[in-house]
Amino acid sequence: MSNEEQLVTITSQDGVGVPCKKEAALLAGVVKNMIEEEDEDETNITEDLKLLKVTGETLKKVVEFLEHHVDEPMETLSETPLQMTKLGECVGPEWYVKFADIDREEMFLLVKAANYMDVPPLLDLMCLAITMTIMDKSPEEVRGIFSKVNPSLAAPPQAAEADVEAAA
Amino acid sequence: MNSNDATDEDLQNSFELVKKLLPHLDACISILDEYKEKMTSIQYFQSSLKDIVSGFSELKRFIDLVNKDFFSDQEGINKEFTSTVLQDFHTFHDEFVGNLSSTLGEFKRNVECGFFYSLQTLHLHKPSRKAIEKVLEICPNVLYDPCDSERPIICFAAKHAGTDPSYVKMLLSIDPDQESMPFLEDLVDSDESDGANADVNRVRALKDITEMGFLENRQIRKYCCGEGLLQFCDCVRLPKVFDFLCSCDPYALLLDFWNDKPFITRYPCSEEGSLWDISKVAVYLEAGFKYWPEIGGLLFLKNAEGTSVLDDAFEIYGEEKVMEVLENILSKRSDFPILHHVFIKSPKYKDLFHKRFRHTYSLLDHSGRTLYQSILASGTAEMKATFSDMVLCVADMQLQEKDPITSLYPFAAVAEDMQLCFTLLRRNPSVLDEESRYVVSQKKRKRLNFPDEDYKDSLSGMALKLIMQYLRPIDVLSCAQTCKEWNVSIDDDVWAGIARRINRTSCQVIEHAGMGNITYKDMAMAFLKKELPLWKVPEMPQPLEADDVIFVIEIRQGWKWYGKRKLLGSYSCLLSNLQGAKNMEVHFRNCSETGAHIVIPASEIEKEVLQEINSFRKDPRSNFVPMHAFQRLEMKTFLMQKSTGRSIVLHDFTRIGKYFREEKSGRTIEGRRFSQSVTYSSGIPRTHEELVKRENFREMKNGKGRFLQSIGLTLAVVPQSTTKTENREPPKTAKQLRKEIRQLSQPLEYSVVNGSLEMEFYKFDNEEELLSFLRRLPWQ
Repeated sequence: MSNEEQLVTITSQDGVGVPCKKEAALLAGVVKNMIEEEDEDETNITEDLKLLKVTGETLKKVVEFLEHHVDEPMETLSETPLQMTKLGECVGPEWYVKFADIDREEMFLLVKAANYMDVPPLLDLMCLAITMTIMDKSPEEVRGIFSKVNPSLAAPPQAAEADVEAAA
Repeated sequence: MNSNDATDEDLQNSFELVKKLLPHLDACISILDEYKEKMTSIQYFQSSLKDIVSGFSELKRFIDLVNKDFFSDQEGINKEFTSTVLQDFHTFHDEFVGNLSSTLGEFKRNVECGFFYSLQTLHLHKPSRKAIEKVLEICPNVLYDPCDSERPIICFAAKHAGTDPSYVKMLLSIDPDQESMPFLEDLVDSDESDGANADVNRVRALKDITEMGFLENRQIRKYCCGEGLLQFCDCVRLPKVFDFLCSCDPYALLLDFWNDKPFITRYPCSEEGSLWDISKVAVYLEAGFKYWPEIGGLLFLKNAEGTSVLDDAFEIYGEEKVMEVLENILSKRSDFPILHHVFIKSPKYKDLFHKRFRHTYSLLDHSGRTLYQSILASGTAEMKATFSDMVLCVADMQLQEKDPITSLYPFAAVAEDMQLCFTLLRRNPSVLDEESRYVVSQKKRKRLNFPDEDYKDSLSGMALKLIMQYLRPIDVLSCAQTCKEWNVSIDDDVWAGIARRINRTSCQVIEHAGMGNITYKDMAMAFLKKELPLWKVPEMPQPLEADDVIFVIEIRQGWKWYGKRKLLGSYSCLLSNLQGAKNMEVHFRNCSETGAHIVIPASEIEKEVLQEINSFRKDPRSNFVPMHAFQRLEMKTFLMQKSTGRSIVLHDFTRIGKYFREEKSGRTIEGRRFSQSVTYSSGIPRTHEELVKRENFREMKNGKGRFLQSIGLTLAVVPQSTTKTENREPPKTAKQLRKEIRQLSQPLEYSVVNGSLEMEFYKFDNEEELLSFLRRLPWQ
């Protein structure tokens, strides 16, 4: 069976198994490493590709992105000077714009997942989406956004007291 | 009017007038000037001399009246005054009428001088309010003329007399005769005739005036004609005065610049109309760095046209000269983050400053920001565009550091620049993956605002303590330094709060131990130093010497079931005396500074100590007191600094019995030389085994033993003759007693026999070592 047809099941931290084409799964660095290790051990690759830091819902989105990216790759953004102010002007094809039209919390989860799974195109897309959400915002507004999505992002750098207590 | 037209009547009238106005000598001179034209002959003058003398006598009576109230040396004053008067009258007699006014002017100066020197001590005599007001009314100008000592006589006198402060303030700030400068203006100005101590004396005078409430901050900003007192100050000749004024009201430094132009283009420094001398500019700039570090001193203040002081300075004095001045100033403030300010406020000079102040690149600014964070936080897109290379090339570590003020990661701090934001986030997306590894503090950090009118009130006492709770160590340090610069005191309560905040556990331990003499300021300083190793804690003003330290021993009753234990005696001597084995007098119940060898005589022991232990009966055969009677006593030893009272407890009250090595053999108790304790080992080892043992102990204690050996203390119970008093031999010296003990090869069959409790000290092995150790001790 070729990679295109072969399916692997990736399991999330909460035990949700998400089937994915092997070709698409190989786009994720973490999955690729796992598969390569299992190939060397000649074990069944369809078993237990478990990701400890990604939830089932997020994993489904990642797999959706990976499978679409195999069929219709996204333009690389990292080295493109961004002069535009809308996501649709920076990203193509259109499918990716719709894919990124999600709430901020989900964006953050996808960035974390993409970073953990080592999926550069998804990371590019989500970083750009987040950039768009905070663009032209004052520090206070940015903090307001972050504090709703992930309070630790807007928390003070480090509490000195906690340091002292930890040291004591 | 022709002078020949003057009549006798005119002259008589004029002198009558003079007589009335004599107390007002200035007016007198002007009137004489007017009438001297009328005096056609010396005869007229001579005929009127009697009236003049009468007039002066009236003045003299006035002075006498004042003297009665507050001049102690009345006779001397009168004599001097009278001789001056007579001398002047002789001069009057000899001189021509044309010189009359100048002679009278000289006379006036003499009178003023007489007043002046007497008034110097006016306040010491506590004059009545009436007397002061009389003096102020009759002769106000002599009171606020600064003298050699620059003491504000009028203020002292008026304070004592309870004069209305507003009246004194008015006198301080007005120019009564329209000729000289008002007192305050004169006080802050200077000329070449001023002595070497003028600066110090005048600061002292200003402090006196301020403390008495006669100088207000607003006068420093706005004093006369829209100018503040600061502008009248000769900051080059009187740098301390200038600094004092700045410290009273730092805003006064800025007000110059908030007018139309920066200071260097605003005030011509010389008659030729040239600009300020660079040395004056340097003083202002230095004060700016000192009092306004948050805004980068005065360099970046701009005038209405948008030109900064730095721009103007470069244009007027040239880059090289200005940079030299700045290097000189900032060499004393090596922790000043000048690059932060230049990069953000005057980026066009960044290369120029970067060359000279490269070492400040890694400093944190007053907010705790790195240079990189400061640039990101500056907010302007142009700024970030200017430094985009620098921003983009930053290390990954820095991308993970939150801004200490906004708590935002770098990518979020540049949200207005999409490319930059995206690039930074994309470079390090893991910042979004932050788990709650930091304890999220619920406390909001507060920043100190710039000082306002009532900044002293807002920064003192409880308010300051509350503020401290919200600050980090570096902020606490900054706050402490600011308070120091503004002369705002931080009381012990506040320091306690700081110390607890920085290291709560240590403070709790110390408080629990009940160390009442703990200095929280020292603790806080020590903790801050630990937290911020680069901060220099001021050293002791002068090194501690053995002469500055007293060795103290206190003996009290032993443990009891109930009741307070009585302090039986205390003994002390200078540590320096311990170096020699002098025989000293007996000291009991007294702290004295003599004595290296303290012996408590038997009689005193019987009277004071043994009274407390009378349950132990003396041996009927030998009249001995059993050894264990002493063992129940407790002893404390400590070192104390003479000047400050700070102390080090060497050994808190513990039973003397611990110092005895008891070897019971039947009825025998051996009294011998003892170590004070294991911790504070001392004494002379008598055997080789003992020596080896002690050496091992010292090694084990990592050198602590060396010190302990140096100030070692040995307690010994020394036998004395039991013969009756009248037949008693002359008392033996301590040396003899010591010798006797050492000669005893057999253990004593008893302990103390009507004898002395002897405390024996041995000289230091190495004085330098001892002193070095003393200076490093954590004195409490």
